[in-house]
Amino acid sequence: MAEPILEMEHVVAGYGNTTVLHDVNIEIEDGQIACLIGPNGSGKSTLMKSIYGFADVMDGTITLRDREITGRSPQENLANGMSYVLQDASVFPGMSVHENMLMGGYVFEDDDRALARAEELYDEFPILGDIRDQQAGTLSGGQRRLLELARALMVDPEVMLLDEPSIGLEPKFIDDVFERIEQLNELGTTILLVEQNAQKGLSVADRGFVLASGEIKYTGSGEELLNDEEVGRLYLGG
Amino acid sequence: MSTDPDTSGLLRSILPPKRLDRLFDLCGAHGWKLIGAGAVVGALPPVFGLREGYMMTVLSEMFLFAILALSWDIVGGQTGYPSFGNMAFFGIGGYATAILVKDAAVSFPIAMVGAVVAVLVFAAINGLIVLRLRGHYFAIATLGILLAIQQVTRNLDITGGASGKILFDVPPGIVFYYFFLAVLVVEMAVVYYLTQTRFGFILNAIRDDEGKATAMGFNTTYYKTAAWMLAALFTGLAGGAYGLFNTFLDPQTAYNGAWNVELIAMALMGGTGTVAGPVIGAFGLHTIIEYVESSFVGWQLVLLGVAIIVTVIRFPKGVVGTLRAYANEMDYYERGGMAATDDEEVTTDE
Repeated sequence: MAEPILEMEHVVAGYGNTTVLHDVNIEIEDGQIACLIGPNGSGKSTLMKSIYGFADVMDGTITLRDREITGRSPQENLANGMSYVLQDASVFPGMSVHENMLMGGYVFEDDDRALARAEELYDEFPILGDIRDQQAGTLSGGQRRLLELARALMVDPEVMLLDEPSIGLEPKFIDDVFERIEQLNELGTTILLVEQNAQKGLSVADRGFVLASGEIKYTGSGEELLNDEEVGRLYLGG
Repeated sequence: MSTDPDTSGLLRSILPPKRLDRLFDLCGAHGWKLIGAGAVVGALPPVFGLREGYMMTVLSEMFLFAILALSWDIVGGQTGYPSFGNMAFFGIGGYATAILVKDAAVSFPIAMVGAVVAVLVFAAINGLIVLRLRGHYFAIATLGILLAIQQVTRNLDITGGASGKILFDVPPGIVFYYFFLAVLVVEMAVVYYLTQTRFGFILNAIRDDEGKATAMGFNTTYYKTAAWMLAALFTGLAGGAYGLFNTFLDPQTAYNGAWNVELIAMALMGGTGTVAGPVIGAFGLHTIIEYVESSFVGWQLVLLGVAIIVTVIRFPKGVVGTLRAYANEMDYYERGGMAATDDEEVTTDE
């Protein structure tokens, strides 16, 4: 069994006085794709935000490769090797593709390092290299999502949090995006994704979690959850 | 699907979007030269004899308003935090200079240093409070600060209370003409430089979505505060000189709420989030206001209100923003934007 890279133990989290997550426990191994599914309002995005430092963690601990990161700021988490792609299109529309890429690497003190990393990523994502001068606001939905993924890779993260990568995309782009997510994972990035398209998310996941009313209701491999009758009936529309 | 963007024949035949796009690229590539050329042109009128009188005053005020509009835009346009209280910096700069020159008998340059220090301290303190707020809450809070500081000034003896301060033995008008021009040129150069640096990009990222900018790992508080203080610096410099330029300062003049609306209107009309926009807006609107003030006395605020409403409804991106969007419109179609999905035919006739 591989070493766990991201763990949440008895985490209670929310916003101010509002508690959204109740005693959440998850464990993701190094190199896995983990998928979190659940109905609207179950707390999926809050779980991601509590890991990344956007939500308040009231109790419990979160560890990233044996280092406690509970309550750490997004800046610290990014420096610790974790990046976060927010739900919905998160490109900066007024900037070019290249400027968007550099935004992902400005956490480096050295601008040249950001420039060099962007060039590396253009080799991996040639389509972005071809449109590097194009304004991000003119990109298609699929291109925007690709740009978000590439930008999140600017810091070469060990763990990437992806919030609803398929949201708002037409089917052919969804397949492209998931293909790219699997490629990133093969290159060594551990991925935790929240996905409303549960069938698609679980089909690529090594590990799956079902979140409902702020609690983890089911855990298993992606395949196990896909084949689970109860999960299928309640959460997969089967 | 066939998309024909050619809907207004004359403009497109005279100035097609592609040509305007190339013109923008040219201006972008030669920004430093344009600022330098602008400085030279601005410096010429006194050389050719314009050394005093009405026109000298009007031109000086145009530079002054351009400074104020561009300063507002650093926070309001580039960072997306629309302030209704920038005139507080102007008033503090003005009073600090006036008190130092009149009561402490220091020279104009040293008084300006004192004004800058006072304004920066004030900006740092209130920035920590108001920059935690966003949108309407930020706008209202800054307006509240402007009204509060105006009231405080009215109640203090050192400021001359409601009667204000009359300033004698001030430098001649040409000094202020060149002072305002120099501050404007430096401010344009600073803003132009910053728009090409990570600092400028991060301000724009905060404007687009502060949450996303935070997710990128940026300490947005640091950048917002820096932008706020930069705006305060230039506004305070303008205010510091204005008291002496006007030879009189009272709370109504120093913390002029109508001016605060004017400088926002100037930035909006010229185009927010750009270097040239607020300057063009200031020159244009101030020229119109001067004309109305001299020809239709008492109607300038009506004009200002109408100008703002028309701008917001018809040209929300301002002069520069509207032209930029026109120049860019072909990109959307030609480069496979959202409307140009793979299986759709797109016509890009120009």
